[in-house]
Amino acid sequence: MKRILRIILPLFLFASSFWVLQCIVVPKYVSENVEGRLVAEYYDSAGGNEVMFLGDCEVYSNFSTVRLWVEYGITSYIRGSPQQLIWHSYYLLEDALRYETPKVVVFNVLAMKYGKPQNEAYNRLAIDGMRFSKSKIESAINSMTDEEELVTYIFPILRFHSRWSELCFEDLNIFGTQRLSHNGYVMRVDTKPAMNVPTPPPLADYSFEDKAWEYLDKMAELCISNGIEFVLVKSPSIHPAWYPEWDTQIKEYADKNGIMYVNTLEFQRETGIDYEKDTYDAGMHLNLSGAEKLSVWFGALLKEHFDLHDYRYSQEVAKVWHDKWAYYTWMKAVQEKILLDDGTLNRYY
Amino acid sequence: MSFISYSFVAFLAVLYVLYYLLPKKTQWLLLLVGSLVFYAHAGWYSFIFILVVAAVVYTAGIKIQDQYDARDEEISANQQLFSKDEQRQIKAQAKAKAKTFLAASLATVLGILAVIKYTSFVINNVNSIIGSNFVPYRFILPMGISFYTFQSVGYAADVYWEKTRAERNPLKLMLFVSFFPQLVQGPISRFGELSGTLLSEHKFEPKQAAFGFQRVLWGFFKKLVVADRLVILVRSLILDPAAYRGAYVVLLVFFYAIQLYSDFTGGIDIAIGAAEMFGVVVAENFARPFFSKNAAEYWRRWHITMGAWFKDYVFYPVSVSKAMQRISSKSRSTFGQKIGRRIPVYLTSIVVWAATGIWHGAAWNFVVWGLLNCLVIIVSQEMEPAYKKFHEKYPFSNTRAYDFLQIVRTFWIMGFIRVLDCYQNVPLTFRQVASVFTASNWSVLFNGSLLELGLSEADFVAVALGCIVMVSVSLLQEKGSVRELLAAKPTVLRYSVVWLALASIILLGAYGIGFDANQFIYNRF
Amino acid sequence: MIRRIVLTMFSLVLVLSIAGCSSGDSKDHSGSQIQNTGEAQADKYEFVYKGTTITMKAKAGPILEAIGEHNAYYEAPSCAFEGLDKTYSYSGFDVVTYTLNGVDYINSVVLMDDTISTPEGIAIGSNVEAIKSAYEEASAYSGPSYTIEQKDTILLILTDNAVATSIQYIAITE
Repeated sequence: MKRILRIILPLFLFASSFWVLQCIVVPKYVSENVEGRLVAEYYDSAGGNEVMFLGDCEVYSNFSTVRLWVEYGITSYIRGSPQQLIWHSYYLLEDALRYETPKVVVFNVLAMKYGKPQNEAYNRLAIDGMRFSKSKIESAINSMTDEEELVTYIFPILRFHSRWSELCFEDLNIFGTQRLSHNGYVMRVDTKPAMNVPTPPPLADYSFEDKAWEYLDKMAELCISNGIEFVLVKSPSIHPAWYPEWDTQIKEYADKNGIMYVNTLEFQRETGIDYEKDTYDAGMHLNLSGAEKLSVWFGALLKEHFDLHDYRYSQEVAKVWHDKWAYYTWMKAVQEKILLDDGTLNRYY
Repeated sequence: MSFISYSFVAFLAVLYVLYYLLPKKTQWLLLLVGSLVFYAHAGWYSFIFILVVAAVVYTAGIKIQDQYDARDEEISANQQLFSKDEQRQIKAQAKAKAKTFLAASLATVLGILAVIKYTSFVINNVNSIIGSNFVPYRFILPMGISFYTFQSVGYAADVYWEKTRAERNPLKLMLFVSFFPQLVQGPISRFGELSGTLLSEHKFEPKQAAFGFQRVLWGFFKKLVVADRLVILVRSLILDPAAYRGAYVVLLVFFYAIQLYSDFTGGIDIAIGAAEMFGVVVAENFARPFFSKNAAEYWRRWHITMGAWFKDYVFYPVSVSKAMQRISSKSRSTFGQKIGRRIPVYLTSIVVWAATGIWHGAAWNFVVWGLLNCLVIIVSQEMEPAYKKFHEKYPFSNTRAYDFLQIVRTFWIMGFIRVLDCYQNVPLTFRQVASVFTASNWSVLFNGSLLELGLSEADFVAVALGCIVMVSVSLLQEKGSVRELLAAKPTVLRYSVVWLALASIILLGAYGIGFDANQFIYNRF
Repeated sequence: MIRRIVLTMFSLVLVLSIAGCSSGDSKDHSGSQIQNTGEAQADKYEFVYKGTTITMKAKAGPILEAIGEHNAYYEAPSCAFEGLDKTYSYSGFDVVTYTLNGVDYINSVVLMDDTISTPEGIAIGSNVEAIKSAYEEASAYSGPSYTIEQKDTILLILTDNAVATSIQYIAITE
């Protein structure tokens, strides 16, 4: 017994102390690149979400989950991160299914334009926040650029070790920071009208790459096998371009597979989005006003087509969402004040 | 497979577990399989060369041994019948036959090395001398070919000189030639010394495991914390010689010395430590060379196994060769005993150092580097009587402070010779070194210019910490084994030291994205 | 005497060695981890406007200053990170830049109409025969897109009904 203890105890101490070291050196995404927190935040709100959004910034900036709740009693979560590739989304869905089975999965199709690993920094934002699972490993394997090593996704200290020289006070807070998102939605109340949006240059080849199609198929199959309705959406943004040739391919795919596809760019009048007022970066992403307009319209569409429960009358769920709503309104007030005081929105709260 | 890679760490861990799980009889076989897997990572092209070299020296060894065994049998069976002269004749015949096999094997393996490594160098020089326009074909250098060729040559020669018996199991000889820890950068082992522990059975020894692991960690520390960080600065200085002259050359000499030392000795520590984990004792290759007080001592402490190899397999045979004997007697009769005695020694030294230089790389800068080392050693040998008088006359020259001055002097002399390896161009090196003497840019050492060479302040802090640890450990090593010293300490302290080493490597190591993966300098020699 | 002989001998060897290498130094640097890299060379086909060559991956500041005031400007920040893609619109073409470590570099030049042509005389509306005769690399293609990949620049010419519909110079950044 004593002998075993002599082996186990040092091993335990080594492992735990290196785990603490790892917690310290990995970026906390507090004072910069705050979107890095989005993927990890999901686990606090996992369970009971009837709608799951998947995609990149066009999702986490443009759909207000709290507005969907307030208007329709829809419980939803956005699993999105910056430049989230389609296979990131697929594995995040696979990961989410370990905790809950939503009724509807909405995937934003802009990510179809990428069929190859793109950028280590964005991979990190999409994968590091995932809890350890087969899905996380597979997501990393499919996403890694040439310079990356799989082991760094299992032990991120091996990637972020060189941060030792730039550690600051916030890095010592290893037990989590204040929530950034509202069930995955990232709020911005500021406005920058869309002007001088450049004409998109024509492309030599508009066909999506095989890997993008492969993961779209996989996502559709995963939804079918779990009894989930799969919806494709093109979120509203006027830059970067969504080419008509791309749209045609998605429409054909949706028709062929009996999947609902909504290109919100075709419903500008119905959504009421005004790119002079409803975007915070000249047409790339919607601000709070735009996200609320879109959510009101899109929520009605979801209610019309799918059997979504109105949880506003369920006391237990309503209590949880009331807190979310309170946080949402608090953040809105804070951001408006920051905007008023500083003239620019340089932080979220 | 680089030592500094996740795949090597995983490879070592798996091999290690298997080694002590499998029956002891199969341990050497596992090491062979492991070595071949390790080598196969370099590609089939490299693999073929090591197989051929091993096959050639194996066959030569057996053939040579057969001659000697037949000779011994004949002599012992006919002890009474043969006269002394007849016995001598039989021995001479056996030796002559053995020599043929030795010569054939050496011609083959050294021929392969020569063709692979020196073809383009020779063609380039022929072109420049006779103005021809031959295309200098450049072969891809198989991994570690210089090291395993030398090790194989040593084996064949040792069998020929009857220092060791030939190995009759081809797989065992293959393991000797290809043993993975020492394959890429040495040490250069002797069959007689290595085979004892390499081919024997080992049971798990906690102390041996701990010592091996600590040595590997130490190698990783030197390599990752210091060498791979400093190489960024060294590379900046080398790649733009026009911009980095004068004081920068002094910086280069200084930092390149540290970089090369920590890189090379770090790699050797990993090699020796990894072997030790398997119970295999590999010869030491360094003995704190920067504590040397003169060039000769430096070369007894730096890359020891290479120096010893050249001494035993080049210097000694050349010295006793018939040609050198003739030169010796002629020079003695012409110049008298005092001078005549020196000429053959110096000529042999020049041959050895030129060979050492060209072994390091097929370029003139390496030849000049070798000859300059030879020059410094001979000059200091010639100055020996003068030094002796100086020490007798001035008592301060026998103090520790003066020793320290000698150490510093040797460090810089060897450092300035070593920059030939950096610029890889002899005239450029001489111009750069000359610029030190006319330099007016000494302010760059203090005005923050150092921070424009690719390293941040934090990097310099890490390097400084690494150097302090390396110097401290070296000072302790002068007195005895640091690991034995540590082993005598309480458990908590021992584990704390290992934890600190591991944490330093993981946190301070210059690896991963943002740092270039560097191969060991000696990898492709 | 002996020292003189030794020194003379060494000087001779040294001089011979240096002479040897200055006339034909070996380029076999396989032993070292530190290698020289060649200087970047300009690509064969680059866009030129008012005498200023707009080189891909070159620092944008001096080039933009040289080509004068733009008609319109649009900036698109990267998600989460500090990058900023900027589009400067001029008469007949757009210049797009990207940011790296706080410095803007040229990412692409897109010719927008037939008022601007490439230095080889190709503009939107030029026919395929003209494209093929202007760019020898294009002569091997059958269209509709002509992609001439150079070291840092892709010259992309799209055609429809055998006439150029888009001409783009794109930086190779990966």
